[in-house]
Amino acid sequence: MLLFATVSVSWYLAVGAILFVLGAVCMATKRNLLGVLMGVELVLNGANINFIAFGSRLLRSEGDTLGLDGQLIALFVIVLAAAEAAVALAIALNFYNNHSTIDIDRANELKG
Amino acid sequence: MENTISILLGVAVLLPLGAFFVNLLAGHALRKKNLSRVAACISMGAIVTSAVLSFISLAVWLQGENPSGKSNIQALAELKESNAEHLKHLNTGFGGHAEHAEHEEHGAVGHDEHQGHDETDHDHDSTLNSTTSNRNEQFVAHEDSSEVAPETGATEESHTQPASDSHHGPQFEPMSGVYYTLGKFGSLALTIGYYIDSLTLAMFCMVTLIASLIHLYAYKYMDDELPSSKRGAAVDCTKNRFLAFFYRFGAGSHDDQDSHDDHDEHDEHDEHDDTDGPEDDFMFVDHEVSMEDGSHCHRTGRYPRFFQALSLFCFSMLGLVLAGNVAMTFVFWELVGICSYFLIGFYVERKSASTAANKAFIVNRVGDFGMIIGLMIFWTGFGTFNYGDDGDEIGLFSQMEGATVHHVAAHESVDSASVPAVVPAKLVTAFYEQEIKDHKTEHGVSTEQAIADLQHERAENGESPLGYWLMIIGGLGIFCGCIGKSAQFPLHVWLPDAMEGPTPVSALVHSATMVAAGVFLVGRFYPMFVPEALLVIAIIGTITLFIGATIAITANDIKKVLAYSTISQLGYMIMALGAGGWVAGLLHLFTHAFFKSLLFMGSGSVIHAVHTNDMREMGGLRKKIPVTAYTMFVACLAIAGAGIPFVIGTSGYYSKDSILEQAFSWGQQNGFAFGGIFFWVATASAAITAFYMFRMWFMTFAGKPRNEERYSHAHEYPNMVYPLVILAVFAIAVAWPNPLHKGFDLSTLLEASRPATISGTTLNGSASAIVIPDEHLSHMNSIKTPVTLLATMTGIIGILLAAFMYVLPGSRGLAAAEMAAKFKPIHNFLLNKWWFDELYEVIFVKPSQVLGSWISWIDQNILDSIIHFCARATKAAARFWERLADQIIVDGSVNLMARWIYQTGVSLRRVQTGSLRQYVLFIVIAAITVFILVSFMWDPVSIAGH
Repeated sequence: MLLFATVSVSWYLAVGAILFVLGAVCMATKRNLLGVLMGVELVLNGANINFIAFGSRLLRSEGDTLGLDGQLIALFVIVLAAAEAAVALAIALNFYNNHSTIDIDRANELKG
Repeated sequence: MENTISILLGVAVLLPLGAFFVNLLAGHALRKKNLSRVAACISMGAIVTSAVLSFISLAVWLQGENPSGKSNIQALAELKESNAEHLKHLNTGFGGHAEHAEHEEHGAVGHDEHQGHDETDHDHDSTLNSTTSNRNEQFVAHEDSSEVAPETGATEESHTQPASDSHHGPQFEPMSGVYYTLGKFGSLALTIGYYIDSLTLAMFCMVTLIASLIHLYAYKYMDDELPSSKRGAAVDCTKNRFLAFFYRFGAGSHDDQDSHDDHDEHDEHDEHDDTDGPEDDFMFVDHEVSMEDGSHCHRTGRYPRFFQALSLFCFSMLGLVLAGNVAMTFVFWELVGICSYFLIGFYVERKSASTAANKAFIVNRVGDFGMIIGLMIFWTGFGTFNYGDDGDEIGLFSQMEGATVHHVAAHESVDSASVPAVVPAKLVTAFYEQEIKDHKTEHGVSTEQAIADLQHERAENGESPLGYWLMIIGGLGIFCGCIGKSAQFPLHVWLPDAMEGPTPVSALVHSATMVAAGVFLVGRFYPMFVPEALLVIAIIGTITLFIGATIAITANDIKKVLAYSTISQLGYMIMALGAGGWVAGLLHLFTHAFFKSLLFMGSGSVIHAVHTNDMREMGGLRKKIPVTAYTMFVACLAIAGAGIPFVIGTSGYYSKDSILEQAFSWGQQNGFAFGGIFFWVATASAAITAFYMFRMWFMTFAGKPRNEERYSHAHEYPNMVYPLVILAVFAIAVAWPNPLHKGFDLSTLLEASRPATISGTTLNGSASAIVIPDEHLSHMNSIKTPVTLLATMTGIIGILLAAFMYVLPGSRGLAAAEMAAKFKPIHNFLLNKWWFDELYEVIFVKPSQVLGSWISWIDQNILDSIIHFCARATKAAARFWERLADQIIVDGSVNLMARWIYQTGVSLRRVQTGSLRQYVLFIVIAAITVFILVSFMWDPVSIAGH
């Protein structure tokens, strides 16, 4: 029942899913490394929204937990995303220094 | 007394062994630190201490108590006195006693009375002595009495009492005991024991004294061997692997081979005279060895090693002298052999030296083979190894004496005069168990009676007693060992080759140790020899003394002359022992030890001075090396037996004359037709001895120098001549009667340990009844006077001949070269040493080589082909299995797996395209796939429900 309330949890899930798909499409289509990174951020944030949505008060029984599980995981993800972005940007910079470009199609040296 | 002496002598034996071990362990370190002299000092200290201990124990023995209740030294004086009295009796007694002539006719039966007569005459108490005399009486050879040579007037009378050992001096008990029992195996106890009598003590004093002097001499003589401090050796001439191992063990690193300087080691060393500092820094250059590249052999000096081996040699010899049982004797016997092997092969890089060492060792093995047989017979027969008695166990000698006593007792009761058995019952029971058993069951008598009956029966049939031939073979077997060690014919060939060793070694080997061991053993084992064995011993000795003397005439190498002279002198000793002259033979062993070591050290001094062994390069050296020359002159006089007849003489005068007297006495007893050979050969050889010794002396020291260069360099060293002077004193005086104390002189000392059962006759039939005469008879005036005069005369003839041939200018017809040309065949024969080496080459060496080549052919062509076939078959089978199992099955499966995994990898690598966007696509597709799977195909409720 609650799932179909006016602004129910499913709405959040929908937004998260849309963000995820947008991010994934962005990752798959962009040739620019920075674009890909942005896509990654979108995917991560889509996932974050999902976590927060599932952490809703509406989806848990009374008094079991503090009720902050979803938010806590989201915070972790944000921190990790920041770290990942830093590493990825460093890679991008180095890649640019070596190849004078950030086109990811040119970065195929690890191919098997 | 016994404890003191046995401990002192035991320590005296062990000290050189200790020195050996110290040098063995520390020699290398000492050499590294340039302290090689210390090694020599250790050895010398040990042997000098041994010498002191030996003399102390001699003194203790002299003061010690004799069985008669007096001290031994008084007993010796008594012995001498009673000998003199006995001699007086002999001298007068044989002049006019009519009844002796009677006895001659009586034959065997008459001797019983005769014996009784003797006993009352000389107041016998001791059973032993009376029995001995009894036995001797009985052994008179009657057949020979008719063949007495007419020119010896006294012979007729003296013949009646050939062996009347009725002399009755004080008794001397040998001391025997056990230091330590190694183990007991049934009735056989293997012990480290001792057997000490005056002979042992005298041998100890002589060996340690001479060995000390030789150490002192070698201290300087071996200077060339003083090692360098830093440079290692370059010993790679491996002629004799075992020896090379012995000498190279711990020789240090090998380098610096090309920095050799061809200086003469002797001259070089003059500057470093007796300094042990670091300037002693040079290598030994062996000029007699050429390396492959044409240079001389360079190696580290082996100064400590020489003294190490010398110490071991002294230990072995002293141990042999002290040994109280046959097993111990044999062990030390072999130790002496191996030590001589090490020392003869000291210059191992020289092919001649290593060959000589091998020759000495192998020839000695031939003799030792016989010795082992003898030892086994005696051991099986007597059931003991011990010489002396030890508690309940009766030793060899006592058993032998006991047999004689028993025999005489049996003879008196049974009155079977014709039983000359001297075979101990134990030996008979050991070897003739079955016969005795049969007799016992047949007649129902005791074992002793059975043996007596059997012997009696055999005697009546004119057969030798049971076991008698075993005694002969046993004795000859022991003598075989002595033939090898003491270089008797036919095993004398090793001794001249042994000259390859350093001269001090020659001196030691030829005087106090190696060759003395053989003579000593004959002396020690004397009671065990039956008359037949003694006859063989005398014959061998005679042959040897003649061969040695003749070869020495033509030898040109100074050491070879001495070597052959040693062979000849050893022949004298062995001949004397075989002819019954126990004291004469051993006395000559002692005197010979002194003058021969003096001669060898003198020759070493000469060689050191002129750097050659060849006497043809010498001459006139007495002006350059006077001490050596005159001490050697003394030694030559001694070996020639020079002396003023009946007054005084050099030591050789006493010993050689007593040998000749014994030979004469032997001839007198057995008829000069056969028995005279010993005497005449010995006397002729005495002339030859004088001749070749003075030939050597004249060639070396007299006349004009033949090689000016060598002559001008010649000089002698003080350290090396002191021992010569000391030895010269001994060479003159060692056999003199003691002016301070009557009785305490060498011959009386030796006489004190003369075996009681010593003379007798061979069995009728086995060797046509030879009489071994009693030694006292040889001192009779009727023998002593002619023999002494004859010996002196022969000596003078020999010396004069040598003088005419080699020095005196006027003697045209007698000059050496002309004589050689005149007697060319003989000269050649002698120069080639009777062709002995060639003969043995043909008889033994060549056949062995041929046999060896046959066997080698069989080995190579038959055995090898079988083995090769087996090897090939195995190899083929292995290869087949390798193909099948290893290569196909194992390798195949492993390779298959690998290939499979590889191909999986190859096919999978296509996934890795390297395109990032594609990866994202994969991720998305995978995510969607998972999503779909989870959404539509995975039912968590149903899983949870189970």
